[in-house]
Amino acid sequence: MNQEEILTKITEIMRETFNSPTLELTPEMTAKDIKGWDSMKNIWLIVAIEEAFEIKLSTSDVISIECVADYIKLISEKSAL
Amino acid sequence: MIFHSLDYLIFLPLVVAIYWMLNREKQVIFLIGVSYFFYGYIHPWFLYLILTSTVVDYYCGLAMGRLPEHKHKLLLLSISVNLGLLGFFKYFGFFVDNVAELFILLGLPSFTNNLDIYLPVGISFYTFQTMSYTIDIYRGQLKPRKNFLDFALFVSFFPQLVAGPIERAVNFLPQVEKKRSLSVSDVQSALFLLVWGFFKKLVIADNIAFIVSKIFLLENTSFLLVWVGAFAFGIQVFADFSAYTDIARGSARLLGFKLSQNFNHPYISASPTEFWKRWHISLTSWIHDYIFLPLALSRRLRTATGGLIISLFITFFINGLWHGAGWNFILWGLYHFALLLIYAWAKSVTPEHIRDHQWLRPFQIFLMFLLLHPSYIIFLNGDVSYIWRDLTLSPFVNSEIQTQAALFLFGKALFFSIPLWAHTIFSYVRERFWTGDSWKPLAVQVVASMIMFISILVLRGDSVDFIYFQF
Repeated sequence: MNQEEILTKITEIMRETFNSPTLELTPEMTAKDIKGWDSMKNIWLIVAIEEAFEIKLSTSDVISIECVADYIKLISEKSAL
Repeated sequence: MIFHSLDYLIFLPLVVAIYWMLNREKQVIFLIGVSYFFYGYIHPWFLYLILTSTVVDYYCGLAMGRLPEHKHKLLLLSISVNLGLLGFFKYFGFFVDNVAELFILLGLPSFTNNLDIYLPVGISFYTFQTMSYTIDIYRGQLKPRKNFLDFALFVSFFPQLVAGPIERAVNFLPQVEKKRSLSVSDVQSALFLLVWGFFKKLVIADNIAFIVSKIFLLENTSFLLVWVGAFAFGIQVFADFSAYTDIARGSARLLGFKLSQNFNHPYISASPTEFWKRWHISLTSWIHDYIFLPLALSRRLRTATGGLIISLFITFFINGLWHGAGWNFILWGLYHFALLLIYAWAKSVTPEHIRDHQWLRPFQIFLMFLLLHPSYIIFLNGDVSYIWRDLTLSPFVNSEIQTQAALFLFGKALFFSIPLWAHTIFSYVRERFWTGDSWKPLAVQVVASMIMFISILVLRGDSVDFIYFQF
């Protein structure tokens, strides 16, 4: 799966998680740019991403994520394993 | 030593003057020395505790780097020592009292707690700070430090030692390790932070403290008086705690260090989640990273909605308990847990275009501000039986004298809170409408500083300890 495909899939997951059908993601976006991305929704998002990409994210992985690009990088690294 | 004392007004300029005459290595040794002097000024034996925490975490961190196969045990050692110190000095008495109560309830022979344990000031802050070091090494987010002195300064740095901000090693240690500098704009912003901090403490918080203590000591109270007291405490605790942070940040900046932001205008929050992103940020982010996330992502709790709720419950239980060994603090944490849960539900059933409508934001801010008031009533009542009494007072039963007193005290609290509101509105407008990044309102800062300085001389309230010293 290439980076664009990952971004498309994350966009779908985020639209559903944040109940925002028109959400458009860019790699540099952070939690501040997306309405409703709070600590609780973040857990939903992590679980949804893990299920969709069949990966496991540790607490350290989650803490290191600052923007959408970090998610894409982490997913491509974990999927490659 | 306390910030709002003549001793500190002599101590800080003297430290700054000597500090900038030294090279980096000597600066570190000098700062450790003055930090230990600052902390042990009144109770020198407290220094044993901070030294224990420093030595244990330094060697645990070092050993984790050298013996990665034992890092789990070493982390447990670090956490046990820190929580052991915190548990004994802060919670032992509370625990024994509750066990004694339980014995009475069960009809077992009871006992009394004869141990009078003195709470070492700032212990909740520096134990959390130093634990973050070993946890980050365990998680692979930080490399263990070989230089003991650099680490000792991270634990004991006097500006934020007693009441935060709770710094992370990953932010602070690189500042210790590099050569520091001081620019004119650093001095300018540091002095403004110091004057603003002293103004908030001495003029706003200390004057309002009088109103709060007067109201909450009344045996014969009324609905209006209690809610005016809650309003006043909301202003006092914000002015008091953010004042400490500002004085800490200003003092640190004069020494070439940048401490993290602890408050970001919490009273313009439109929801409980936004409030926790703006209030006591260093503690909230600590609790989020080291308690909530590991719990919510643990194998047992990560998949179910119930798991998220349990994680949130435990997080806010600990948040409450961190504030003090008392049921009122635990109930305060659980009240905030309930607010977050109700908000999450309300958000899920409200259409997005209504929820996020910009015209609703002022109403949401006002509602959030009102919802904080019961939490203050809970927080303030050490005797839990008074919480229910205060929260259930009838709004229709107020004697004329009680109403007059409440209105007078409300007016006084409102008067002293004006600078806080003005600062919040000014900052909000500046952030929202000013797009240039080099705007430095020097003239505004100079005029404001002069007004504040005169106000401190004229309007200063009776000196009261910083509220967060007790935590």
